[in-house]
Amino acid sequence: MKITSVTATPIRFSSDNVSSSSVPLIVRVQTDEGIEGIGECSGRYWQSLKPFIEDIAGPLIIGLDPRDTQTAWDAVWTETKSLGPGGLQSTGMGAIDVALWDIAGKAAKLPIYKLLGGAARTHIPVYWSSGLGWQKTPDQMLDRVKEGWDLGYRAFKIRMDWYNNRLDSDPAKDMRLFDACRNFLPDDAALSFDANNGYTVSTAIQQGRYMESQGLTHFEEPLPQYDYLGLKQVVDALNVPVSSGENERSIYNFRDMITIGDPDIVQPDIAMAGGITGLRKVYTLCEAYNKPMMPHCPSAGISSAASLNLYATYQHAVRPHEYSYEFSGSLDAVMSLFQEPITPENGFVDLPDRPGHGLVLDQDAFKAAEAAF
Amino acid sequence: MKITSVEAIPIESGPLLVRVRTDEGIEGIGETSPRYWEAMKPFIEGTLGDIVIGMDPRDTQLIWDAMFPPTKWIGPGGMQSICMGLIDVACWDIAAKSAGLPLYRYMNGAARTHLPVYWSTGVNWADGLSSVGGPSTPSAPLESMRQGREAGFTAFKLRLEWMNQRRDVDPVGDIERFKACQDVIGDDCHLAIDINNGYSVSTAIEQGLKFQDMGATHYEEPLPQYDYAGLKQVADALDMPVTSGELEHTLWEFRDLIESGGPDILQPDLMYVGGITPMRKIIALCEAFSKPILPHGPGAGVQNLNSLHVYSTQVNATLPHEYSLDFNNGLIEEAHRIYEEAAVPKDGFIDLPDRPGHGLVVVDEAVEAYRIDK
Repeated sequence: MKITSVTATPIRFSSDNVSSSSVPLIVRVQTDEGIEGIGECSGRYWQSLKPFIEDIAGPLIIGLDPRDTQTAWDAVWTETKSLGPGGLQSTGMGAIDVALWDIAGKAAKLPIYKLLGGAARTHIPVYWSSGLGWQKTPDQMLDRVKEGWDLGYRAFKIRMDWYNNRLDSDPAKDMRLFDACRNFLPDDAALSFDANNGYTVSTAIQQGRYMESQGLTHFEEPLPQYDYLGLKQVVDALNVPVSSGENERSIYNFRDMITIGDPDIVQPDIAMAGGITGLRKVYTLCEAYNKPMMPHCPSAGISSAASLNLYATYQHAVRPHEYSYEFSGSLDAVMSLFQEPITPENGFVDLPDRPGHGLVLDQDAFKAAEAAF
Repeated sequence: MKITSVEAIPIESGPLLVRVRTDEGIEGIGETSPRYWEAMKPFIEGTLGDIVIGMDPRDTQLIWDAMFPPTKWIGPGGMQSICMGLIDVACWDIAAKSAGLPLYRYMNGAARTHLPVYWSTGVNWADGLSSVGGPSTPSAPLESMRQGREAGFTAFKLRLEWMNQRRDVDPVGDIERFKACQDVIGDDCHLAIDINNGYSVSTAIEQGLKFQDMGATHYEEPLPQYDYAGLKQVADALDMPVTSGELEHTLWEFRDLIESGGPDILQPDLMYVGGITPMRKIIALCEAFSKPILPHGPGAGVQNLNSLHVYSTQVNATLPHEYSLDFNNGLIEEAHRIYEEAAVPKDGFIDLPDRPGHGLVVVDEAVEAYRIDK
């Protein structure tokens, strides 16, 4: 079997009012045997990702057997190193890699988790993730949490989305958001808090100290992602698990983050960390260091299905996996793209035993979403 | 003054040229390798262009800060920093031109403007650099070494271009290649050796001891770039300077490289780090750690000249700066054919031009004749 074409298509759903900067980018890989594989990454900067995937990475893997996922990964990684490491390079490669694993699964008529050695569980808890806290009032954030509660979720994360360019802008308001959500949720419902790189070390410790006294499940990315030494200070100061990893791209980044920053939970993103091929090695590294994983995944479509397929294969992956469709459109719109959906119920996703990652494009719906873009 | 447009133009056997224009008619120029321009052009013109158009090009730090956080998903490093660097150097060019000053003076003055450069040349891989994992034997670039010697250079570097995917393939041959180059340039010249990430730790130490005995002036990137702990072993084991840094992108990567790897000399690349704005911070960091810098810059045009401008402002920057025609088919005319007046090395030195900005001005007709994006 040979890869014959690689395309990247930004889409949107005509029914939804999502900003064009954060549309999904769908990667399709075709083969000479007629099997199509699909992958996905954020379409933020699709203008750059599309030529990278189609014109630069595509020609490097066309002609290869799509089941040689590691060979294809190595070919692109070494050749395009000046565009990376990380960011554009690992994200584009991640979307392609997922499409290749999808083909491999379809060719073998097996779900990806079977190709990976079998699932420890296929009934997987997911948590409701809601962001842009920096722009929201406590009531606005609470409304989002209530929406998740009504859908049956019992684990939540609120994200501030501050980033390093707005460090320590309004820590007191963040705590009002947290309090509003904590007071609404019963004590046994998990509530986590994501500063999205927005605090300095002492602010992070003070905020974390307060939240752990009120009931916090995990404290995510308190500091700018490059401050590994500071992360260790925060980790050592707090009892609550401190997590990080969505901004790490390669196994070497994860090695340094773990050995220097020592977060309690590691949170790799399947697209940004180079697909199943990249992420699988990161998971193994986490296993070696006895670090639980909670994958970062702000997508309900292909990336989520692929990430869950991999997550399912790790015995110690027992925490809820992130779930969000804030960046893609409503869940109905996202799932309308596929012949058969994968949807959560009461805070759990049941992985299907369909081949590949389990999602197959409905070509008419895909064409409509392409046209709507 | 306001930025009115940002254009990225790939030039045939030349650079990816970036032109930043302003409402006052002053244009700034940046350039980098044209490799993968297909992905860089839309990022520079669309994503970054949208951010910087309307800003005052003299606000170089503000512009850099405006570009970095919102494009973090494209980086850090690689494409993001290269493209930001292109806009950054073009803005510095504009700022210096609008002040009527050469760039080095706009950056508060050159310690020297007569700067030594070394001739850098790489092996020719029969199967190209793109091969994955396949061992093949590179030939020593003796012709290029001869060309450099005839041009009056007295310092040289041989790049073996092994890369991580061909590790420890032919160490014995590397010694022979080094010796062959030494024979061509003669005893009175310096020769450094660049492994380009191609050894494991013990190979790097064994080979390093041999290169050291043969008089190599520095030992560059012996290990894969991410192996800081291994780099420290190599740097500790050898007496000659071990160097690294061309693949680090941000201030904090340099922090980690210095703290964990302990190389003797740091080699930031002006484009890889994201332009003049971060380069100055990285140089200050090197100063704090008392590390000499030897900028990476295997080119001959604006990229090289900009790096020389920054380098000239450092009082302790006395080592020869990199210079290479490898990416212009060995032809200086190709490196300069889109510019009005070039900065050409003579007897191993480049004199910084005292024209405003970095000193290279684009010839529109030449750009149109050689652009490959039409």
